[in-house]
Amino acid sequence: MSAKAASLEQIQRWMQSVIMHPGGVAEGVDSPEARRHLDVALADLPSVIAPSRAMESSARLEIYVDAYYERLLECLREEFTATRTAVGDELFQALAFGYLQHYPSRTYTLNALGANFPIFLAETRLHAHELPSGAGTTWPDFVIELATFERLMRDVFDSPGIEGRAVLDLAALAAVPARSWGRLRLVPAPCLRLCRFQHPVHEFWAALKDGLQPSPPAPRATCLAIHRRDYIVERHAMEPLPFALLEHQLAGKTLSEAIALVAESPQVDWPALESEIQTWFAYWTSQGFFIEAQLSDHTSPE
Amino acid sequence: MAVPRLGHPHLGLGVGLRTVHFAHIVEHQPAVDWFEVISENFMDSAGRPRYVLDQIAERYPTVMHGVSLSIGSTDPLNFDYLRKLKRLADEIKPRWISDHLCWTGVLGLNAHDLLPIPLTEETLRHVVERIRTVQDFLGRPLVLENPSTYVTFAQSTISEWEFMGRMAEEADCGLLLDVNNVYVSSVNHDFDPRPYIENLPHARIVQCHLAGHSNCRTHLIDTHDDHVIDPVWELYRLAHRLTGGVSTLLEWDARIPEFPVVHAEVLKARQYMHDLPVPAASAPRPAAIADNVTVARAAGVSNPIAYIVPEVS
Repeated sequence: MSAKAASLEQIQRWMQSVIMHPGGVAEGVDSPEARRHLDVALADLPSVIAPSRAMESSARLEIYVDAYYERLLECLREEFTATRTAVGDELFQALAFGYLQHYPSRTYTLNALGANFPIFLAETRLHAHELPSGAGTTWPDFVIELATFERLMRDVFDSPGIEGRAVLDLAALAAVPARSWGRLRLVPAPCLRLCRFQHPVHEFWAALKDGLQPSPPAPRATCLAIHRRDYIVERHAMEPLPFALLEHQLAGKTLSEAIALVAESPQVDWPALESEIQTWFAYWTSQGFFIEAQLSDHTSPE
Repeated sequence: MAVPRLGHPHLGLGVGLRTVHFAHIVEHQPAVDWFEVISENFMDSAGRPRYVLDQIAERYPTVMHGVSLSIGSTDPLNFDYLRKLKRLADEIKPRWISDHLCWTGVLGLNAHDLLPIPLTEETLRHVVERIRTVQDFLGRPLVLENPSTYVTFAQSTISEWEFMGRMAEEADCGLLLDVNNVYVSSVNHDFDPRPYIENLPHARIVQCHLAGHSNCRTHLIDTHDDHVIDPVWELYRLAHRLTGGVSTLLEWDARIPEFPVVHAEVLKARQYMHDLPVPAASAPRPAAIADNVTVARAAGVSNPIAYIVPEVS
């Protein structure tokens, strides 16, 4: 079929495969995918794309190729500023370029463009042969975690939150009779996210935000709650024990179930735990971590 | 003199709402006639962007302007997208909803670009049918904008202005005349921009867009990163005369200056609302080199870029 007789569908599928081809117009036009939609050789490109007085057909099409990658790379650079700093501009560019080829956008919003970037980094392990000299063995893990952290911040920034709605305060919690505490099931704020990392990514991120030039941190188990109040995203570094208790509650466990699960840990000092729990709840409620306390009649499913 | 505009009001001189100006607008409540918001930036927002939009929509007339409707695509219409678009419109009550005559992707992908369509009878039928479907779903007429384009198709048989006009009449939709886009495309495709504007169905023009662009010597790119140039203002004068005056909005999307600078730029439109003769020396000419902007800023990216940067403590 000649290009003149090509359908709108053929033209669009062909043009998209050329625009998204990482090798530019010449390679894109000659690629099997493009030729499957429209079998046009580069020399015959004017039969599809008309030249202008100032530009040949391929140069005109190249404007869209350049814009496609540059626009999306710019969005990724903005979303993953700390990750970009950690790996350097050159490696970030290569990683983001690879990401766009493996995970081209399938949504109507650029805000979702980077959703799979941490997954892509984990899948590729940043191509270990490209690691900067002197990088430690856990450096890829740090970068993957940093990207995950940045994406979580993005998620919390625009997710439903607690602004303008009642949250559970300590007084309401204290009003629950002591005998019923074990049946308490706390409903978390919709913008609360918990994440475990092997590196203190939040410290690296905060140092960058303060204008410092931090080195990649050594591994250190890190438990973070990411939350939002008054439309500002906050980070709360937590000790492992309260973090585990909170995790179980976010998973829908009652307080007694959550405590029982935490108490299985050999590190737990039971008398100390009892007194600390009150302190933790006071802090969590002051931060608006929960929106409601429900009394459960049932045990949670395993 | 054309006025109907689908019955929509003349909102005056507005500014495209951008996140860098959120704080200024909320704090100072500047005397802007109206704001245009990028629909996709708020359709899923339950955070600060939506909070700010609600405040602004309460105080100012708003219009929703989308970049992902993909009305020209051969993929099926995305009804999940349309549902969210309708929900946002039900909530913030924009005066109208606009998007572009373009496609943004096929095979389920989104290039996040306003890609050009071959201007043929087949495309016209396809687009008109989809506009009708979208309008039925939204329960209101669409307003569609002429995009800046960088290629033309050898198989095209219809001029863009004829396509826009027939599309508007057959689908019974409105037009958003982006005067800068007419100028950019006229240079890129070697046509005279004045007949383009003269031959549109003026009573269907609901709104005008103004913006700056980048001159790359061989072509222009619609970067929205600078002041409006004189030839575009002269085209705006023509559009104003032919339409009888329509809601006009300035877009500034890259290297965005302080809000007062952006606002002052659109207020310049007042100087072009008089039908003065156009001296030959300043008449718009379809030649990139005739452009009076700084030539060839490093590789500007065409619009749209619609990404919101999170705020963190």
